[in-house]
Amino acid sequence: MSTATPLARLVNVRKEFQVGRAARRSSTGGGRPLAVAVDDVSLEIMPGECLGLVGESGSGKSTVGRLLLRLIDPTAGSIEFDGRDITGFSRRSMRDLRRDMQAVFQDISGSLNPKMTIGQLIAEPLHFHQGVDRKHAAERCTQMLELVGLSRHHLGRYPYELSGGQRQRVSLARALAVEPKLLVLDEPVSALDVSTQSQAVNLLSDLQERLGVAYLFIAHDLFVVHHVSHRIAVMYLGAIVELGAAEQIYGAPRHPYTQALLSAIPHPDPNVERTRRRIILTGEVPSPTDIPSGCRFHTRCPHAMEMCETVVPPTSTFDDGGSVACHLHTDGPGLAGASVNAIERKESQECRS
Amino acid sequence: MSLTRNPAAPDDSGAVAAADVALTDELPERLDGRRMRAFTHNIPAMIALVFLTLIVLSAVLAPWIAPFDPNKTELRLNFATPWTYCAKCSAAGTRILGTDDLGRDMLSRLLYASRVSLLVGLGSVLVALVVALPLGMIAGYIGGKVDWLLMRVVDIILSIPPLILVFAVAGVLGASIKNAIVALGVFFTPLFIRLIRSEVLNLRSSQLVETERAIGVPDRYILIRHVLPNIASPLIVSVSLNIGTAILSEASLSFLGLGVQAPTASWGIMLKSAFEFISQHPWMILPPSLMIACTVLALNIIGDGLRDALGRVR
Amino acid sequence: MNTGAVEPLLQINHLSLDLPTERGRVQILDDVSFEIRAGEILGLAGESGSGKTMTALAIIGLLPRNPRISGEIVFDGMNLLALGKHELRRVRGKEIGMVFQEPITSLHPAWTVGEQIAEVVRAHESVSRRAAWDRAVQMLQRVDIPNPRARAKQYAFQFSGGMQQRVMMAMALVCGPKLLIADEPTTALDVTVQAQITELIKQLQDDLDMAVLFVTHDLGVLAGLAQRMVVMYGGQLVEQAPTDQMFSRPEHPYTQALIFAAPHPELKGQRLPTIPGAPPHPGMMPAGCRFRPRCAYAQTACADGPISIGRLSPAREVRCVRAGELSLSADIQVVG
Repeated sequence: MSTATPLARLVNVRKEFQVGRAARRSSTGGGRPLAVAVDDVSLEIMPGECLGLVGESGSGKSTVGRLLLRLIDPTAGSIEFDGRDITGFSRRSMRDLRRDMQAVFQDISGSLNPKMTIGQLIAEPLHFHQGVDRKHAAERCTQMLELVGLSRHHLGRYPYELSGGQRQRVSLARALAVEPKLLVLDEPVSALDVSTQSQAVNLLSDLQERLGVAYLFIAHDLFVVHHVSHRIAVMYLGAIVELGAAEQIYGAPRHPYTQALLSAIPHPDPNVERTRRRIILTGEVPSPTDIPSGCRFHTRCPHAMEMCETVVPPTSTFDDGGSVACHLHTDGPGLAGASVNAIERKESQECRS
Repeated sequence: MSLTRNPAAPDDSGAVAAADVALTDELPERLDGRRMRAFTHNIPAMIALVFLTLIVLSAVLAPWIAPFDPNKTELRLNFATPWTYCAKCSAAGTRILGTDDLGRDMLSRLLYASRVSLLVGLGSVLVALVVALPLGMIAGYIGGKVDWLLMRVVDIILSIPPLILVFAVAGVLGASIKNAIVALGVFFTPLFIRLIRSEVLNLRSSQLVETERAIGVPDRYILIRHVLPNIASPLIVSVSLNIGTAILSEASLSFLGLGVQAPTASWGIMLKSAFEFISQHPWMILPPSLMIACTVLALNIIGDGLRDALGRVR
Repeated sequence: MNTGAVEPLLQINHLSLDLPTERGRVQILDDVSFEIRAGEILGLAGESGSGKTMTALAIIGLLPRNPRISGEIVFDGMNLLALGKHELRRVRGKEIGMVFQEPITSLHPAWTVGEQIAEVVRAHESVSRRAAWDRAVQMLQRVDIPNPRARAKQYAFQFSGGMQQRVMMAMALVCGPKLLIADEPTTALDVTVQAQITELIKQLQDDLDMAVLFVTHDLGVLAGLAQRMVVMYGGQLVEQAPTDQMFSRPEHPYTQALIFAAPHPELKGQRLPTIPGAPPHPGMMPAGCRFRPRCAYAQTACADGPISIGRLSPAREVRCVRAGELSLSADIQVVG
């Protein structure tokens, strides 16, 4: 267990949004409905570590990313970076800090100004944070392009002349140009073709190792997140339901939601697909304006017990560093300890023999 | 722990990235000038452009090409029909388009009137643009109370029927070219503010602004370098379409005596005097009205052409 | 069980398609042939530019304007390409149902969900409004929407993504079509909702005994769903096989690469297998084999002229010069 200081921390962060039209009233009734996008979330990212943040729509994972970057302000809680509390930092102070924390967002085409060339786009952060002038910028830009697998030919091109995968690399090159300590990636590969996705994932892994940048890797695809991350946090409806090492989350998930997420990933093996026991969740994700009482997952949980409806589950920690917020685990490993995957593999083995 | 190769892939010693470079070197053909070509291939738009250029040129060169003094009255020659030749007039020669009620040469007046009408048309739109651009961009970008306040002001102005608004301003300020520009400018400003603001809002919901902020680029720079160039296209289209509206509005203003004052010529003034004599000399109304109609039509066609050409690149 | 030579429900023969673009006419589909038998689920796999969506649209006759098509699409004995607009409209919705990727764009924002489904019924059968409405509610029940009677009166925006997709399926299936075409129906949905929808499709297919053409880029989804599969690349069909064989012994290098690109958790810590480069754009296809620039097994012969599709066995076809030579395995090698 290292005693190193975390590079970035979110401490009991909460984010509420006022929902304009009262399409659905909050359970408390009266007043304008409040959507709780992030509810009491605490996270730490160590220097050089890749923390994966997995969740589906409404989980609040993208909001967490933006809170960390201080692109939006938390309703409560604090955000720390590099040992300093940045929750109250002014715009100007944040700007200086941004050299150390950069981001790549999901909508790649939307993030790149179509009127600027690739060279200009990559030079922009260099200009603002390092005061690099135009002459030296070209050299550094070429360096960055080559780092992400593009070439100097691309400097004079415009974003619309490149493919989706290439544009993604440009966004990466921009973000890494100023050598940040932390990179927040919000769904960096979901918009890419299958064949390009693997390339992008490999590239992200490579860069992370080579440059020692910490990542906050936000995605809904558990497989991709698992491949790149050291640790993974699983979010549901604004709260972290499970946290642990990537192998543990993928191999032996503790929380029923994580198990369902895992179960939903299709296997490229017809035998496994046919015989495995799939966890199909009932119902839909509740609206963030109407978060269920007790355990927020109880409305869809296949193992829900009576107390889950009324009592909010405490977070239990385990020896392997993992933690989970679930009543099944409050007295050590419970029913869900035997992982879904283990059951699947056994069945498929039996089937083949 | 070593990195292994995919057994099926070619031997990519070094990063997979290297293999990608070789393949991505084949870039698609350059797409420069595509939009320009889209416009130049639009035949009606090109014809309209040529026509408009001629009109503008003739207006600019009026002092040199007008055959007669537009203000010189020649009462004995009044109401002359087109192609009337007068040898004994103070200025001898053919009145190609005839003369008006005071014997002034229609063609010369028309040319000089073009200057005024085009000036008011273009001027009012530009004035509105200059005012609306910073306001609209700031409102759209900052949002919140500033935006709310500005939009209420815009709503108030827009709730006044346009013609009444323009007349009221012109009436209060007095009739002159400058005031006509101001009055029409007041009319266009809220429209442009709305348009600019909505384009800025669109841009904000795209990932662009957030990405630039995340990089650490100051807001000022974002507005000028990222927002402005990307809202230019719809703005250009709107401007070109609205110049036509401005010219028509000027004509209405002057027709009702609130715009340009006699003896200055504008198409509206000419319409007014022609209208007074419409039963006895119906042909008089043709030159100014055809001029207005053709110019506005040309502007609209060009505007449409621009809209088609400048549409979303993707 | 009928073991005689049954006519397939849908037969696509040598379908080729050109569409006009900025750069002139561009070939989108090249000599695509496959069939679907009654009651079977056929998976159509491919990435962007493969032509899979265009194939689906061609079947149902919803191509963008000015297409130039050659070949046949024979459905239940009729050549759909030869049908006029009216006859085609009668087939659509009644015999062939279609579900698209983004349900919110396909649903009418100003009509209630019940009205939209009832409209499909009334367009094809002469029933009263009351009867059509009841059918609509029944169908909503069938697709597992709770409180169907109440929800039928709601509008599209009041449903979540997964629910909207169920509504789409209700609309597509209410007249009991023989064939359901699903074009990436789960791609835009959350992963747990994806699982729900694919389960639903399986269930409905069984209940209604209909054929399904499931178009997707995600091979994993097809592994548990389809009995047979067809893989497309660059506007051509490159491999056709029963699902089991496709996954255990792919014949085309692209198929193998796609299988490798699917989630294999054992690979943590290694590079993911990739397919270098990117899929070609229509109109910019390489000469010879279209996959050649990215193929690990390419030889000089692969560049000589168009590659024709070869039959390896009654159930398998592959478009590869080296078919049969390469023994491609679907097992990923894990190191360390």
